[in-house]
Amino acid sequence: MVRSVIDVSGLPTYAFGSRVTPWWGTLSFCLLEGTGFALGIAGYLYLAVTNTHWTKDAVHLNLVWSALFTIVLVVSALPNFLIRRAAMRESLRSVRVLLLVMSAVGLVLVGLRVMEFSALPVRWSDNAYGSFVWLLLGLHGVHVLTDVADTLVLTVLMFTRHGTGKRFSDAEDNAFYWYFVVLSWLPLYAVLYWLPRL
Amino acid sequence: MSPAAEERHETRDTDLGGEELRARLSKTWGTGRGLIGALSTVDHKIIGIRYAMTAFAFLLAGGIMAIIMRLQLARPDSHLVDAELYNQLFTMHGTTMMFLFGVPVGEAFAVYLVPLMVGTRNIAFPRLNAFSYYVYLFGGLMLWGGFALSIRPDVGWFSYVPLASLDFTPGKGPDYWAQMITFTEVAALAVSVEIVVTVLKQRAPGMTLDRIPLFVWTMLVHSFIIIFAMPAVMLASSMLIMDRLVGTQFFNADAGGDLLLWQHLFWFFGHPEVYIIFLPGTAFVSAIVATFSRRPIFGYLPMVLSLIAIGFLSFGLWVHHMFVTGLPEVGAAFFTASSMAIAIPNGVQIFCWIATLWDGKPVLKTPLIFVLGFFFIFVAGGLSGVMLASVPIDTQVHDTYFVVAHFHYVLIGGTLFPLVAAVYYWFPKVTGRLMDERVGKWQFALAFIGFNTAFFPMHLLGLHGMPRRVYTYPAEMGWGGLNLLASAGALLFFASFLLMLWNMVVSARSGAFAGDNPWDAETLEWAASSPPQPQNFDRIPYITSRSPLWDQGDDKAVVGGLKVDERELVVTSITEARPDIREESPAPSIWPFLAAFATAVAFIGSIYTPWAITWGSPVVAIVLVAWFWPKTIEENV
Amino acid sequence: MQNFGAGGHPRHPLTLWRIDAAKQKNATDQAEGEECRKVKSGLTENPHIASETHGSVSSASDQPNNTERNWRVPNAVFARFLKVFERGAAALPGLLGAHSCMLVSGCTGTQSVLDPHGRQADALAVLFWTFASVLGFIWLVTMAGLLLALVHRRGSPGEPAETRPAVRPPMQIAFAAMLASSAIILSGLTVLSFGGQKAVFRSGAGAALTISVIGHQWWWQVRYEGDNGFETANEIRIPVGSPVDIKLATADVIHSFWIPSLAGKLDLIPGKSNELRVEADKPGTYRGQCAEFCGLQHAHMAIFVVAMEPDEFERWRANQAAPARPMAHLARQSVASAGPPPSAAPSESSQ
Repeated sequence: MVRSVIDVSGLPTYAFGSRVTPWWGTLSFCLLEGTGFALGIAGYLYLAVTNTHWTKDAVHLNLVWSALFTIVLVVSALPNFLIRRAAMRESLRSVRVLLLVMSAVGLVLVGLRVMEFSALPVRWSDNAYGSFVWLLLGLHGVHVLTDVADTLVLTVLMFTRHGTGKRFSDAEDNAFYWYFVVLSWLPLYAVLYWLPRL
Repeated sequence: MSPAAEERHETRDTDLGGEELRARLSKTWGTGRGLIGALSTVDHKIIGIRYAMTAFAFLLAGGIMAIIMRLQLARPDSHLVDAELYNQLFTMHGTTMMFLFGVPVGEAFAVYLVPLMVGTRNIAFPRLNAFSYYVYLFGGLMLWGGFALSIRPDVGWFSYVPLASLDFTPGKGPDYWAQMITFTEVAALAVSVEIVVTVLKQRAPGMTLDRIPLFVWTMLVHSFIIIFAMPAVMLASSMLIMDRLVGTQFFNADAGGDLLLWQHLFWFFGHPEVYIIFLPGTAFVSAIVATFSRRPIFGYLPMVLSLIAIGFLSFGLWVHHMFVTGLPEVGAAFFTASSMAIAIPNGVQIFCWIATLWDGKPVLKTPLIFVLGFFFIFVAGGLSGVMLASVPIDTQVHDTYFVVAHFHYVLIGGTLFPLVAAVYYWFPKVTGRLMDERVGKWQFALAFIGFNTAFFPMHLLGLHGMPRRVYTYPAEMGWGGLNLLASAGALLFFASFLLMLWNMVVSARSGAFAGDNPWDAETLEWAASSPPQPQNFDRIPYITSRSPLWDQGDDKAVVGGLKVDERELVVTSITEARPDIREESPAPSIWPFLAAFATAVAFIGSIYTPWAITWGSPVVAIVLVAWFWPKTIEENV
Repeated sequence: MQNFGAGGHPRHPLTLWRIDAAKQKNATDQAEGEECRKVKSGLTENPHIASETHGSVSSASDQPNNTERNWRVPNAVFARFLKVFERGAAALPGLLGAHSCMLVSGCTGTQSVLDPHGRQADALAVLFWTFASVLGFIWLVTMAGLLLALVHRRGSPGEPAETRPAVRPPMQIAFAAMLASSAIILSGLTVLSFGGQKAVFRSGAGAALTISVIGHQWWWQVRYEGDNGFETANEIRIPVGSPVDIKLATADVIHSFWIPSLAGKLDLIPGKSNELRVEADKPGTYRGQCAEFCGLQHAHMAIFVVAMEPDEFERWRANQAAPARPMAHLARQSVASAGPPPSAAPSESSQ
């Protein structure tokens, strides 16, 4: 005898935040990528302690572009917050405008990261310090790049007939990931740009 | 929530019943025909079977490598293979068994069984699941294709620098090895994310945290270990390949790099790796012991807490692989203590299983017999592991055959015996037919005698000074007799797997029909038909106990109201498993296959020119956009 | 030593040649390379020194195998060496005991964790057997529990599943006992292990001798430090009864120095200096081999430690050190003239 005890037909087909599966997927990816960053920093610090040439190798990095990058990145948390709120309110107009803003900010950040690289006083092949600087900067750069690409695709989607329903959940999810991109940069910035100056 | 959808007339599962419901759902959740259909499937059961079959193919390949090595070592001063080939063989054996068999076979069972056990219709992110399988397949094919083309890594599965650096190993072998690592780790990480989300969010309504089957708990912890451990080896192998290809200096001591950094990163992954391989074994044991003891596992809470403890502790042990590198004494002693500590949760698990057998009424079918073999072998291996945890003892037995014996006792005893048990146990669910019991018992006799004959003597060889990874040894060392014995045992052990293969093939064609629940087991996968329908369950079960199939009588409580003609599944809350959303599960798509293919081409190309990444990335990006681009106005990502 | 003629040596001339060629290459490549072959050339070029060295030390003299793999000792020298050895053996019956024991264990020298001949290895063997007995006992108890669980009397098997079994107090007590005893046993073993670690790795002052061992693919360069420093290859001689510090370094990849009968192993890592203390308590020859995979011929990277009575050791050392400069010159010549001899190696190995 089969007996239906719960009727789920009235439940929504999408929601926001931790209620939906993509949020948990994104969180899992943040965890594993965060582990990657943490291990990268651990490797950098390990060398800083064990390598006898470190003080000689660890030349100071240019503070201008990185400061600009950091400021823009941190400030981008504001439109990111607004986009998340607008998405949860399913306000198409606000989401469209804010996605355009975030796309522009993202592209500026990619440009700033390129400037950061070009201003580096060491090459990856000079010594292990140089290798680590390029690795960590590059690793974070890839995260910026992928999320900017995701934002651009989402922006396009929002201006097409797909800009409804679950897309808002996607926009919210994308904004959630951007927080990770911002937060993971801060320790990297401190380690790469300020630690050698201590 | 979407009134437009509500207005359109849609068939719900409450509107239909019996055969018609089954047929309609089966059509909705089915896999397309033809090659494109096969490559587009997102059915977790089909992907799971492919994962398992691929892993078993690699097991066979790795086993053949082992047999060739054992033939070489059977007598002293042997010339069956030369040093070069032998070094390639043990590298391929270790790499294949760890990365292409050990990890993926656990994933395979998780992918197939976890969605069934938690009572949902598909795994979370099924396209990612398909993608992960193809990435794994391409990684394995790349490594073995390279082997066939004489591009053979020969610096061990651990690829220690500086031996693996360009200076000492100029060929492409280590590059293929490193890229294969990246492939398989991407696959494993993807599956882990899917399993975590499936377990947390897609459990059938009513399956609260304390009603999750131990198998599923184990796979959840297993997935978390992967999420935190695998990035280490991906980072390390990427650093290695960058050192080799673009001239970075991570592991070049002359340019400020550090060789032990490789070992730290590798073993930070490498020790949890042991538990990544072993935990699926314990998941099988928990399921099988319960079923054949005719009662639930004794001590559910201690078991779950032990699993979580193992998950945490497994990250605090890596340095015991580096005791002979000359570490500071106090640091090393800390890792002795932590390595000892992990014996406690493992001991708790062993106790709970034996207590279950004690209180229960054991039925000695093949799966349980293999689990008994597991106790005999794994406990011995675990205890010799306690010896290795001791820094001073480790300085004597590290990198000797004692260690070879130890980890084969742990990995074969801990994983392979339960795995064979699992094959016998779930084969009827997957194929609808039972495997032959008599052959199963013969197989056990062969495997048990063969295994112990092969590996017990290795303890003694190690104590008598035989190091690992030697392609031969002089007759005067007196190691010939024990080695001959070990080789004979290895042949027996190998034969037991051929017997299993034969049993599988014959049983799949002409085994006895199994029915839905041939063992009268407690967990939900046995509520589905054998083999399960594409939708797994015609109606999502409503869970009221830890042993749903034992507790429910004729009165089956189910969840109603899902659409029949769309891929809908119930998303529930994390702890209480209250139904929350009807989420659309992605439909079949060819894009994951193409994305995996594009990724593989870019990765393999990168071994020859770094520009392959530059040119490959946009292609991969385009494919990914196509993958995620919604196909209709319906919500369908 | 009877193995020397008929043993492994002639069977694989090719591998031997590879080693020798690799070693020759290393030797000629490096400034100090010629010195590492000094002992060998000492034997070949100056039979007098050879016989004196070996003849006076019976405990060392029964070690043809230490030269077997990597040194090519001309037959004539060897025969003479044998004769002197016999005389020495006759003159020193007291050492015969140690001597025949060596013959029993074959001419390869002892290479076994379970046959310790040094202070460190002794402590390690005791620790090993302690662990093995305790853990073996735990294994037996576990298996007994498993067996009892299967055979003890109860209702007929396969009855309908018991879905909500009561947890009986005896089982709870057993669980608590298991938890407590495993915690206690593991803590005990941890303390023992830590004590053993202290005992084995206690360094402090007092090493009479410091020797540098430099790993090469696939041979060992041994350097006796000090004013009268000299070098040998694949063989270390140490005095019995006094601690010796061995400094470990490598010229190429990671190797691991391991003489099981004397002490545990320690890695040789580029850019890192490690130091191992050994102390032999009996005269004898102890074989060891590289324990970290180091490439193609890892299997053939053996080393011998010859422990000698202190006075004999001093005599040997003086002999090695005294003519060091002129000998170094000779050795250079011999290495240069011999070169890596692909044709010579097989012919010599068939001696």
